[in-house]
Amino acid sequence: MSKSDSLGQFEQLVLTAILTLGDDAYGVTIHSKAEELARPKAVSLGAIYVTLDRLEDKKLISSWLSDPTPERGGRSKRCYRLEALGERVLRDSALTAKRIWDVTTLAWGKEWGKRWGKELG
Amino acid sequence: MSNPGPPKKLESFVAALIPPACQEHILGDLAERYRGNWQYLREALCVLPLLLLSRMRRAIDPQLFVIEASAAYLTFFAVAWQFYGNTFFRYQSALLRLAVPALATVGIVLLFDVYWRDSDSKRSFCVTDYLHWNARAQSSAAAAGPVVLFQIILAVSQGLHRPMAVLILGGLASVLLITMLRIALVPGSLGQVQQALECRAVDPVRMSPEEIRTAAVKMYRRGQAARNMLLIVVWLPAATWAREMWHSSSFVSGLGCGISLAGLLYGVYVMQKAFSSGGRLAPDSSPEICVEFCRRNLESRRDFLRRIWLQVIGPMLAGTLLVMMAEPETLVLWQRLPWLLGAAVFYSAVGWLAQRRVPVFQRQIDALGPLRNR
Repeated sequence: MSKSDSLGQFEQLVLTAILTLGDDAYGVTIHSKAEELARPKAVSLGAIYVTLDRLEDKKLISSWLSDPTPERGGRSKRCYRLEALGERVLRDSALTAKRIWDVTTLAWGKEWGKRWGKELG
Repeated sequence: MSNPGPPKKLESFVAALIPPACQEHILGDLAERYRGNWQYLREALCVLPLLLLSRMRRAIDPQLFVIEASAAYLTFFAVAWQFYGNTFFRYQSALLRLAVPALATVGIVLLFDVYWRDSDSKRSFCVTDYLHWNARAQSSAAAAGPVVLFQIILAVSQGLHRPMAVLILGGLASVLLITMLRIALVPGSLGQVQQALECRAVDPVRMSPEEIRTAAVKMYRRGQAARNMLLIVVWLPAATWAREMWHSSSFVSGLGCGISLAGLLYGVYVMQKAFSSGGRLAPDSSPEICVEFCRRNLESRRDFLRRIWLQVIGPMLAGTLLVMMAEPETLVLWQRLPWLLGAAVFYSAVGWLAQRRVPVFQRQIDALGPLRNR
């Protein structure tokens, strides 16, 4: 297994946020989405930037600067998108999470699974 | 109601803190999240430490970093030896005390790497005449002032017992040495050549003869600068070895110093030759001559790194071991063993790391291939 194949939980969150946001994935929106996914934990903006840099170094995502917009004081956004390797690694992580979910539901009962499923939406 | 954005003065203050490489989008994100001055400032200050760490991690080239840190430590060691001889090293944990200013020097240089802008090279101070082609070498050279300032603060702080002369001279000399190492070992960050080659890879038509010529002239200047830097820096270890040879108490010790000095001077000679290979480059040279010049220059530098064991590290290691075997009369052989092993491991590591830079040069030589066949 190469270094880029293993993802931390926070990296999974950020990759999922980028996947969900599609073309609108940049610092602010990724932070909001990651915070939504990590509920009730708070997520700092700095941690998002560090993770994005790391994921880019691992070649799981790529980035480019968009055109400047007036609502950002004439500054550009750095937009991100998932690369093929990133998608594969995220899929592997999702499958592992699914297996964990199935096993814990089996061990703790279906009622527990249904209750948590509803709470998580 | 639309977001009014932060006041200009506040934004300029925050912009000065954020590393230039990520300034544009971070300032944009912070402006988009702006809810008030305090919220803006607090968010910027929370983001900053993590951003700096991330940028430092990205700026570090592990091989180069180890070489630079070792070079800085050795420089402080040599300066202390030059000024005080054995007496300095009789202080308690003298070697550890030298590690603090050496690490601080490397840390400050690293911070300068993070905050350096390529466009800063347009500033007119005399060093840029030599260095304007290599951003990493420039940033380390520009760090000289803050490094000296920090060393003065370290020297005057109470209870540290580090002589001011050693700290200031050591700081200056290590910055020079780091700059020289960057010139010698970092071909990949030669923005102009790299950019020119990348342009050509995308669209061959975009690389005009003028661009090829500019890239070659920059490479030529880099070689010239490396030679000049080498002459400035090399006096320190050379003087240390010469002084030790002159004052050595035994024949073996004198021989060891002599071998080390010879290894060092021969290394400088070979390196000078490597940097000046390709001859002089006339400003109106044809693109073919320029590309050929680049190739010869890179090849000779690559060959120098390949032979570094035989030509520099080997003699210097042998000489150092001889000196260590003969010099400390007060220690018996088994007490000297850790020092001997330490020196052997240190020299071997530097040699190994330097040889690992060979593929970096080879990649650039390979990238020149398509240009030559044009």
